[in-house]
Amino acid sequence: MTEAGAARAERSDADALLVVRLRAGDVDAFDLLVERYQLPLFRFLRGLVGSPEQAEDLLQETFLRAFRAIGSLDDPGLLRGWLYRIAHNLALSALRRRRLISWLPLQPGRPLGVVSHDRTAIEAAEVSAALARVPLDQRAPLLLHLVAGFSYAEVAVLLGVSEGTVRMRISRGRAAFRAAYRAGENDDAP
Amino acid sequence: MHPELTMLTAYVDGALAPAENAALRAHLLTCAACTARLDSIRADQQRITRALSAGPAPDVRAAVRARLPQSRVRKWVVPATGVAAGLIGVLLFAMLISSGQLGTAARAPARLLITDRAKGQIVEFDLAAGTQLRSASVGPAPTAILYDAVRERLYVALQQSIVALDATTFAPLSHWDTPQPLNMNTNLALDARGGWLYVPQPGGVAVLALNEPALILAHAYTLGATPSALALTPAGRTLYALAPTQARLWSIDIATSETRSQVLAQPDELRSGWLALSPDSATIYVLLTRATNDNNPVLWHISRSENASTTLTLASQPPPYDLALLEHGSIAIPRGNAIAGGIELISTNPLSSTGQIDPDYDQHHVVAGPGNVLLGINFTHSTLTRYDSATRRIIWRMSGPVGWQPWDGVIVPK
Repeated sequence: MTEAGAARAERSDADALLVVRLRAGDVDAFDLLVERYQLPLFRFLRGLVGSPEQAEDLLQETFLRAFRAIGSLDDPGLLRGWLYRIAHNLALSALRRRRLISWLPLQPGRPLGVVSHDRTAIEAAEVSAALARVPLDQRAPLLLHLVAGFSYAEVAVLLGVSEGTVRMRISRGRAAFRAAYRAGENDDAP
Repeated sequence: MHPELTMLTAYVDGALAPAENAALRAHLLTCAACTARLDSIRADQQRITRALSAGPAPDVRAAVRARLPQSRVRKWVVPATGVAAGLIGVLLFAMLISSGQLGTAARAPARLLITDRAKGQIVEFDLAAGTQLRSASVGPAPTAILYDAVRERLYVALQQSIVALDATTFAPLSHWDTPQPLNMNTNLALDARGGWLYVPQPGGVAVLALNEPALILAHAYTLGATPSALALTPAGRTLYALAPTQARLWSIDIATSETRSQVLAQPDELRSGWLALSPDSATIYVLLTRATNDNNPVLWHISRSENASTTLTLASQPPPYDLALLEHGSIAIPRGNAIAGGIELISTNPLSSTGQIDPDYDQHHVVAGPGNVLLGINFTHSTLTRYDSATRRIIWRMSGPVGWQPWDGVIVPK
């Protein structure tokens, strides 16, 4: 087994133990679950929805949903993927809702009011704006792979599509990101 | 010819088959354009991960915990109505002393009665020797069986009825048709001195009066859920009911009909559970498990006086099928995967596994009796095994009638 594989197996075992405690109603185990997953899930959600505030709301909702539905998790070793699926589904619903109720332009533009000379902050805003232009069905697998570190096969299971579809969507997502990011760079040109 | 973008991204992501990977690497060695495309893909990748790692990340632990439903804090819950809504008829005399299944069991010599689901009969064995004595038809798919020492009767759960039999002749005396079919894992609770038989039904517990010529429904407790396991305190004052799918445990005060409940875990349609009371009725033991291979069963030790509980997580395999308290205070949990499993023994103070009896043979149900009698019933291989629970040795093992499926058992005096 590779080092990554061993680490993954170890994490899966630790998750399985956590699930047993959660199913037994152990509230302390729930704290542990939140502590273990809040940072990676937040990054994924922020990439998906753009707004850090909305990502934080969705993060809380993800854990509450997980808590309520822990009994429906068939394989405790698959806790991590299951959490991401909950987060993904909640984000999708929120984005659809936002599209329905939003009076903002449907095509998200560059974030307004970002006045910063911090290169990291500027890049983060540009990346966020470019990601927002990547179609959602490409953005989700792209982030699940790049940010959460799932393999194509794992993303396929998580999203309920074929591995070939994942490969195609990630590739198209990268191309869409590239185009959007370049367009952003050109906007900056004097 | 240049590779498509999907090939390049899959290459960066390590998702190409070995042959594709080798071919692409060979191309990249000689193609500056594709190498530049590759660099650009990698740069975007770093940009995205760097951007999403930047900036503050929230700590939502306190916020989430504050939003957790209160039911997760394990406390006895008293329903708003205060009393069991479904109480019909008279209250019970709580001071009468019952004879539970263990308490009535057998002064030696004793007979062992086993229900046979396959052939719709009960089969009698000599407990000492394990030899088959006789059998009697009782009706379709008998499961749980109880012995009433006060009335010299047996009560047997069938597919959709409870039948009372003469304990000596096995002649049917009376029966009560249940409104809903009985689950094959249903168990019954008997208050022999008080004259009440408790039967789990969808929505609650039916109470049959035993002091009438025929079995009749005296009243019912509405729980809003379907319990499968029941346990009665020795004096018959408190009935415990467990609905495993909801992981909810009810305590019903027989005299006042007040019900309280607590939730031990999240609802799960695939969960099974068993219930037992310590002989001094100070402690409730609950075993919950899920019908999947990767599940770890959890044994609960719930102190009635302190409302406190501790748990023991058991090994996931082989799965457990039953729970019984032995006279010296330990717990027996039969396990089986069609090959091995034996009977796991758990010490109760504190909860800890103390090893297995007969681990190379699988067991499904257990019957315990005085004198360290412990019987293992295997409904797959259709065998009975008698053990000495103190020495952990096999006394005898036998196969029983051809084509039978032993299910539950009871020890009765000769």
